[in-house]
Amino acid sequence: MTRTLFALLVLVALAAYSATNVTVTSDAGSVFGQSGDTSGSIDIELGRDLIIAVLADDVAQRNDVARQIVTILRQSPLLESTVFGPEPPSAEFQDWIWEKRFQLAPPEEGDFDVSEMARNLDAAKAFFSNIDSMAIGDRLLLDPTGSYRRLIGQLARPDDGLSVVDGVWQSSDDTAAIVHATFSDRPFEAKEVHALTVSLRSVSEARNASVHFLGARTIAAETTLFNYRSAARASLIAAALLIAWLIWSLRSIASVAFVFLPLVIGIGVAFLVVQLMFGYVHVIATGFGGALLGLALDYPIHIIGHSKSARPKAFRLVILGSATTSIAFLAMVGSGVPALVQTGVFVASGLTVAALASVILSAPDTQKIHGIPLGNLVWRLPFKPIIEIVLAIGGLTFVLNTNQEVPITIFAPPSSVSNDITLVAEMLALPSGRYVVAVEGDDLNDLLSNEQELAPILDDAIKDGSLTSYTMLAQVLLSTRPYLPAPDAYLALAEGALRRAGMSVGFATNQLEAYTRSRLSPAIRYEDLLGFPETRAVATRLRVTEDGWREHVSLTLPDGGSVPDFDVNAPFAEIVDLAAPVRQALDDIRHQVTIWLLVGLCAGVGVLALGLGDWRAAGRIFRTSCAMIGVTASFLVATFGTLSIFHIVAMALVVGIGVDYGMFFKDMKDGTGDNPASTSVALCASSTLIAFTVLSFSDVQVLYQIGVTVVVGLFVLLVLTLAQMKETT
Amino acid sequence: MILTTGSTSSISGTLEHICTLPPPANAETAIRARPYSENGAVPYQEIIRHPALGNAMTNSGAFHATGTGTLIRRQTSPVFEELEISAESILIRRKGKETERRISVRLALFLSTLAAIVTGKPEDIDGSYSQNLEIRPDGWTVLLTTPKNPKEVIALTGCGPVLSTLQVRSPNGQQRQFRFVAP
Repeated sequence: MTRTLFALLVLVALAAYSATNVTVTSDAGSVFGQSGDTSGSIDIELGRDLIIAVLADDVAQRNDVARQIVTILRQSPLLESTVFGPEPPSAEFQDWIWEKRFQLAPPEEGDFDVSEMARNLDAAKAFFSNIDSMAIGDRLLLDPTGSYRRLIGQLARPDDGLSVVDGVWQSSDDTAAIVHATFSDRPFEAKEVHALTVSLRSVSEARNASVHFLGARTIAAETTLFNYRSAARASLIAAALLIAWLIWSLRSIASVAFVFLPLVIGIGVAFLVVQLMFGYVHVIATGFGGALLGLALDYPIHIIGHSKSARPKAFRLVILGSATTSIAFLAMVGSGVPALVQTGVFVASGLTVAALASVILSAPDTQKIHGIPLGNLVWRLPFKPIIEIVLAIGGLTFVLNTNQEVPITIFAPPSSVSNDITLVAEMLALPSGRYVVAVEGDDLNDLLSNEQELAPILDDAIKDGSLTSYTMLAQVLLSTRPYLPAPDAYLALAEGALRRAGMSVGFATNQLEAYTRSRLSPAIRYEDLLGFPETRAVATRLRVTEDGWREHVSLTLPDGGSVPDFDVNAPFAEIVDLAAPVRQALDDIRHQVTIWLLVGLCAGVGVLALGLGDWRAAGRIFRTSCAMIGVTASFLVATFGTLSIFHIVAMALVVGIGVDYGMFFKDMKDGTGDNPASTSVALCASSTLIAFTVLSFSDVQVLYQIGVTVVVGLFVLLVLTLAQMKETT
Repeated sequence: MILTTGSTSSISGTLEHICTLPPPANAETAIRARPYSENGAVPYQEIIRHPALGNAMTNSGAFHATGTGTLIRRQTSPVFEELEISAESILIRRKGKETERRISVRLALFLSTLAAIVTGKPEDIDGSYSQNLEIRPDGWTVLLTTPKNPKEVIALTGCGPVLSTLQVRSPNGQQRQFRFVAP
């Protein structure tokens, strides 16, 4: 009793510490590393973008709602900027392009022909009947080369293809008003982003409109909360069913409490250890670790299933079982993936502490366990060793030959979010988020020159119907090398042009000053493009390194086309799959996890053999585990098309369970219900099946995958283990 | 209706006529002066001077206030161009095409001031403007300056309660003067 009280006190202390000090994060860097190659993070510039589509039949009505939403968003500290229509260029941007005009729209030798310059001056003079002359008329007169006029013409091209009604963007199918917003550069909080979307939905619904969101942060917020709620619901249902089942089986509240206490202490210590070692606990560690610690529930059940006299042996088996599984999972430390290293530490520390607590705590007297003794289900399987080896090798062969590429989403969004993504993407005819054409150049001018060569290839793809449109820098900026005569020569040319156009020749000195300033202006830097909202979208497509400039030309593919159906045969350009690095990273993680779990499994079997003092028995358990893995992996690949890291780690959990069952069955001679192992393993198996069957019905992909894997694996394991038992007898 | 002939001088201040009407008491009263109008339209001549242009250019047309708070500038010479100025955007109709867009800050300050003056709602003038009244023999001048666009000065001239011109001066020597005159 004293030990139990002490355990409760430890538990309270752990809970109090965890509540105030443990930080659970879902940082993608802990999965993919911090290389920055895996775009899509919610903290980068692109990840803070948000598109809101306001749907209503009446244009005026949806525009009103869009304006109201913008008013709300502009007051929210969560948002940095919000716009509902084309914004006029800022004065700073206008001044910048004026200064950089010879780089952005370089003049050619023919532009310095006096008659050509005079024609440009005439056109500039005529432009003064246009309201826009108030903003740019003076500059048109100051630049008779036509460079600035061409630049303005290029920039005036609509870049997003969206029509504007009453100053508000409209979707291409004319069903929605479009608002574009950017989240502030502050830490992502799922709850506050969710609260914002909820408030906007209620505002719209009150005015008979609906809103749909497309943005990394809203997707992350909705997915996180959906997963959290679904996981909490599944956990509650599983816990309730488990408690009810244990109460029915044990018929003792004290025994049920004893069963749960080591598990809860184990989880508390696992959080504490990971927090102290890493400074935070990754959500993947808690997800995997929480499920794996379900194994710890079995330890006290095994103990109370044994009589007082048989308990020392049960203690030894429990410690041995936990050591075997802990070593297997501790091997994940070798994977080098922070989230998985944490998972290994979480499971190893949690299981060890739970096993120790099961042994140390005062167990109730021997407990009669109600239920079906597994000994009654023994069956005979001739040539079992051969069959198990065939199942293991056959399964491995099937998996290696049919396993498809790993999906790139770890936490899939709920269907409502997926529908929003599809809806808004269709409305806006968004470019492919996966495929781009990467173009390279030694400098900006070389890049633009290469893009001009690429443009006809892409235009041909549009004619063929394999491409709808594309967006590249060369559509906005011209790319020839500038021809810039000496200032003296220019002055003479400018005077000649003014004279020919019948204008004041003295104005040539003003033109010369403007010419010289632009001619001597420093080369455009990548940082310049980041400095203006007008060029930030371009900057996100650009990468500038010591090797040169590189742009990802975005591609809008035809309806129903998700993969480019054309080739780009140019030495400076290639079609790039942006998802490839993420897919490769996940594939690498999957391989690492598999290898290290196998290493851990081998080490665990070694420990098992040493602990049991029986290499043949350890070999039998290992063989059965391999057969289980072969069958379960084949089933999963046939069902899901691929093995995810969740499948793999969940199979490792089943192996851990199998080792425990195998040990407790080892000494069973007759397989009848009188043997305590028979009833305690039956209760362990049934409680595990209850918990993971609930998970297998979850909407959350991760829980669903873990649930299905454990249920199938456990079923296969029980079938094979019971067959093994007969063989032993 | 008080008829005027655009009697105020050009920006150089050359006297053309002596204004015999009593001057406004202060700048606030001066900017309440109304331009010549007929049938709700305010005819204008826009005279543009630029160092590059030998002679001044002239555009002409009329302003029309709408009941919805927007101002329409219908230019009839030398080419037709209709401009609908609202709080946040302008709608341009030119050569059979209609284009709507947001106004840049520089242009917005001027156009909103123009709309406020022409429609007789000086309270709509941006609060950042400071107003200085000068009384001269040929009438009065109010200079409007704002730190939001320190390079430009807007000058209103008039005689008594009649607004004669609205002029915007830029540092590059460009001047645009709207003369509110009978056609």
